[in-house]
Amino acid sequence: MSGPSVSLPLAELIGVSRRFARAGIEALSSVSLAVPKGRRIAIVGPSGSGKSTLLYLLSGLDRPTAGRILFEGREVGNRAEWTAIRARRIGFVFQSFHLLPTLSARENVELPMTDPGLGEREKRRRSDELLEAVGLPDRRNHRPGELSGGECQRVAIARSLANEPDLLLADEPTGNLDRDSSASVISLLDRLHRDRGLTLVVVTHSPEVAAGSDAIVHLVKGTLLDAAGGSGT
Amino acid sequence: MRLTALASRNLTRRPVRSALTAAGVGIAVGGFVCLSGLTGGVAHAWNGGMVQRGAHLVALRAGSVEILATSLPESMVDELAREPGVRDAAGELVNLAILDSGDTALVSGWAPGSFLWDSLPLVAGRLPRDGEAALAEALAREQHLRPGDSILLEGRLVPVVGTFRAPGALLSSGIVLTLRSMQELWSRPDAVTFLLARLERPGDRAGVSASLERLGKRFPGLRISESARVAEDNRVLEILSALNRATSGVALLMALVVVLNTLLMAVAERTREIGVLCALGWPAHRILASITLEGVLVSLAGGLAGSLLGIAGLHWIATASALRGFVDPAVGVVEVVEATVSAAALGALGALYPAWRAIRLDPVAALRSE
Ligand SMILES: Nc1ncnc2c1ncn2[C@@H]1O[C@H](COP(=O)(O)OP(=O)(O)OP(=O)(O)O)[C@@H](O)[C@H]1O
Ligand SMILES: [Mg+2]
Repeated sequence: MSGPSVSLPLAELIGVSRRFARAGIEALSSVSLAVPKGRRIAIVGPSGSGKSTLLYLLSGLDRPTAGRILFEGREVGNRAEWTAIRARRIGFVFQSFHLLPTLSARENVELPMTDPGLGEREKRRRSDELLEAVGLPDRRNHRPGELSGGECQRVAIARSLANEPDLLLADEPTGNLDRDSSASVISLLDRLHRDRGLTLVVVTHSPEVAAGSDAIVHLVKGTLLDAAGGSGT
Repeated sequence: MRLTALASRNLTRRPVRSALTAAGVGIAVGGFVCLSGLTGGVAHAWNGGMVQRGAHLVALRAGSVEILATSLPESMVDELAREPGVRDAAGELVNLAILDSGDTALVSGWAPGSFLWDSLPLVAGRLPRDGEAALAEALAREQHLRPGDSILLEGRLVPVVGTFRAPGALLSSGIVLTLRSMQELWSRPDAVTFLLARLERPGDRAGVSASLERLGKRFPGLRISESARVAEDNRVLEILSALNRATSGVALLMALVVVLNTLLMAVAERTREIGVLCALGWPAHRILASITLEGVLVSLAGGLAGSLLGIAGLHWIATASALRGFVDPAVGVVEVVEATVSAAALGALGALYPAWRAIRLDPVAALRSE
């Protein structure tokens, strides 16, 4: 195992269900999953099995209809508290990048830097550093429309790292990319996990992405088939 | 990147829509500035006109709504002049005349020898005697009249004997006759429209107030005020200004709706981006602020442009339109700043509901939306 020694899980779902009452759909049913610090977990499963829903719950963007969600062993009180946790502790990467089209790569990376104590110069220094880390130092003034899909996703990864999070949630980060771009995104995630000790939860259909994980979690119709590798406690 | 930068970037994303929204705010604010400047300008012209005549106090018939239609007996001039503290007094009969050209001119009648004539620097010719007229230089030029020509007033040809440089807006389209000629022409014998008085000690504030109070008691049929404040509590101006407020209020309300509509559209368009901002950990107040800022910026731009245009319009009215002479525009930096700040407040108000909608979005639904 490549991660640091296992202690308290960074994030944990305990018997979590998410039901959409109006549609009569239970997207997740009694899912329990611990995400230990420093681990890299892949979540795989067919379309509609609840993978995205699981990530939204883990980040507090969505609330469960049953069960408990813990961050660092503690139940998070309200929406505002979750917002603060997302701002400082959690990074998010999406399948379709979700960059703001009117902002340059650098401005997109600076978007999460909302700490009022952070000066413009410091933001600039950090975003330059991050774009350098994802291999795009010379594209910082380009807008998403002027970048390739792979480049956009690397900007999005740089953005997710803006506030040095502990947990990175990625929802099919290579889902919209060709083989070469996928490879570069995968190696970037590998490197971040290895070098920064970033805890990674990656939803993927790609065997390559799943390959380097510490655990692969299978979701089918909202239930976990196998969480053995994931629950390190 | 600052919040203002993001807001302005979002506005320039839809340049035509943003420009139209700004124009909506600008028209409302410009109309407001122009209309309120107009009322203020009329008051300013009258106040200035009385001061420029050299008067310290002006007396009107108490309870008169339309000043030009009322009159006082000419004999009151002497009564007023005999009061203690009053240096001298004069009576003026005023009327509007429609000239041959269709323009309107303010005609004043002054008694020979009164102090009013001191305020009239002649440019050409001489001061009028009974049956003669002096014209403001600008009016004479416009009507192509010179000393030696005649002007048609109330159906009678009156010889023009002099032109003067108007000492202020009110006299700039003015005609001056002797009081006697004026009373004859308009068939208002022994009448004056208002009384003007000069005080012995105009610099003594307490003394002026005391005189005002004493004269008020002595002449209960008069409304006496300091010349610089004669237009205050004027009913016609009050009505005008109430109309202006109502009209401007409607326009500003419409501008508010324009801003609201634009930002509602913007929020709807950017639903997914708002979801992204939530996912990135933007607190609700920051999302609220960024949308409010958009409303403020677009209205600020519109408000600034609108108030400048409003002032330009007001100056045009005061110099080139038929209202010339009756308006002395008194808008300046303060009014522009006021109007622009109000526009910004209007923008913030219009942004409130869209911003509230934005922060009430379910972030997951927003992220999943197309
Ligand atoms: N707001 C909603 N209302 C009703 N049903 C919903 C809602 N959101 C998600 N679902 C349903 O919940 C289930 C799980 O959705 P989810 O997006 O988590 O699946 P997924 O595993 O991420 O699928 P994919 O691989 O296609 O992205 C799906 O059946 C979906 O239709
Ligand atoms: Mg999904």
